[in-house]
Amino acid sequence: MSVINGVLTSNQVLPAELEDTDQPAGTGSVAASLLPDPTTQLLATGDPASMMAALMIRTAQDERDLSRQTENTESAIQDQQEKAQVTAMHQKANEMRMDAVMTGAMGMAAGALSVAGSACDKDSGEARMLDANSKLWGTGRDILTQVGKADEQDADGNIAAFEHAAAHAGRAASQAYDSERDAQKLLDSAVDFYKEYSSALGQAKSAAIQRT
Amino acid sequence: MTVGAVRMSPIVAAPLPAQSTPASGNGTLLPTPGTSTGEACNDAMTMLYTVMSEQGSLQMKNGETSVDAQRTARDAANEEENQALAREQKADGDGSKGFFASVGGLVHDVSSDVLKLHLVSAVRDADSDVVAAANSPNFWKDVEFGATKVAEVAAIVGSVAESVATFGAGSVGAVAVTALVLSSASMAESDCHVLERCGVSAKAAMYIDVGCSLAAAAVGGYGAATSSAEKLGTLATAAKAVGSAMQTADGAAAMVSGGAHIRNGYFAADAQDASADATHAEARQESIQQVMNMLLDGIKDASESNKRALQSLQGAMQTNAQSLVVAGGRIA
Repeated sequence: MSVINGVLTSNQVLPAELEDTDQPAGTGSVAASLLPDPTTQLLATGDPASMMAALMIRTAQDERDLSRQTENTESAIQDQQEKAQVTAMHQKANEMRMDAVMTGAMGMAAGALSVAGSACDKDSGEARMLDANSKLWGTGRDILTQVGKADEQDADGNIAAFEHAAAHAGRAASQAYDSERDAQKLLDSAVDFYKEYSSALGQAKSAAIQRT
Repeated sequence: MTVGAVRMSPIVAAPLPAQSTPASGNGTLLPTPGTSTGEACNDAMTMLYTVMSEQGSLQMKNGETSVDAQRTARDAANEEENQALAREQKADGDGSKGFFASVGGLVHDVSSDVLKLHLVSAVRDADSDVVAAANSPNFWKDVEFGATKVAEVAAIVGSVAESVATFGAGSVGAVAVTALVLSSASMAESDCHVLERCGVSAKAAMYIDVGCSLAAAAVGGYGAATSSAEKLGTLATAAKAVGSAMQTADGAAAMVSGGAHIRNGYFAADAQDASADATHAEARQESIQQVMNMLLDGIKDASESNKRALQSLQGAMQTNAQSLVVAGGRIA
């Protein structure tokens, strides 16, 4: 709700104007007002109850803003970590394709060399050369397979780390949101308190006027 | 008087005043409730009350619109997740046919079509079965597994044949058979875990497996050391031919296995991609749900806060009215 100073003729501030009714929780935006801050005016009244209410309101507002800021930050971290997790998963898929092509091609090369070797005379040097090359490619394929498995383990570790970080940030954001709600309740309580107080004060003044 | 003249002139309907025009078109002559203009709202506080009330309604309407939009986005994300999960299951091979099922289906379809003399259908069915097999993850898994086993068996038989060719015909029988049995036992244990299924512990089975391999190698080595060129005979020549054939089979199976491995790798990578998409869609859904919860909380808070503000204003208006009454009484 926008600030509505000047409605009352006295220097009292309407309790309703202390509330941010146009600010849905979680939006994070703060409307700028051209009028002075009502809590500052309350603090300057000299009335102890009004000053206490103003302090409570200011504390609750600060706590709420801080919680909202924390929640926004944690939510941003959560989004970032989730995106990183998905990116790591896609990267792992690309590495799996690459590994499959490399190991499969090496296995096929080893098989082709073996077939070629079998076509030659067993005792010839060419056959031995082809056989040795076949075994070399086969060994390379085995090594690459193990390296690929290790890379997959690394990728799984990274994915799990991102997932864990995202979950942690999500929990922190949820806690910050709860704190924000608590601060909002405190703010409402402070405003209610001041409303009751100002109402009682007004009634007392009215009774005094009627008596005189 | 101009009564006659009035009657003589054509009757023209007088335009209705703007205030009496029904704004909503529902037939009422009263102005739309809630408008902050008009003589009824000339008091500043009343006008303020009306504006605040309108603002509250507007906030509620905006909130509902936002929640609806978020719900639509969440449903879309849910649909994306379902599609991604379906793609993942497909890439994992859930429900797809294996090698023997695919070949059996192909043979059955083609043979039944040929027996009915539906040659065009036979070609069409064969084509669709081949395409289905090519896109079936389980088919390629079976192909890779089978080709790998064929390559292993061919390698063992080929190595034994090579040993036979090296040992010659004399003492080759016992040595070759022993090496073959030991090597085959080792392979069967490592692939099928026969001993473990018979109740032997995994550790003991591993030692037996390694022992068989070492024994096969030792027997082969002994045979190689004690053989001589004179012992080569007809059997050795035949063994040499078998060795070459097995080497060819080994190579061919390795090539098939390599091709199938590439295909299986692509299926696994597709499943991984689909899993990533599902994760992304799930995270989006959770995020949208959080925003929806916050919006609902915000609407609730705004409604309550607005109600309190209106009550406060109402109280101020009452106080103001009471003050006027008191002041009026004192003047009187």
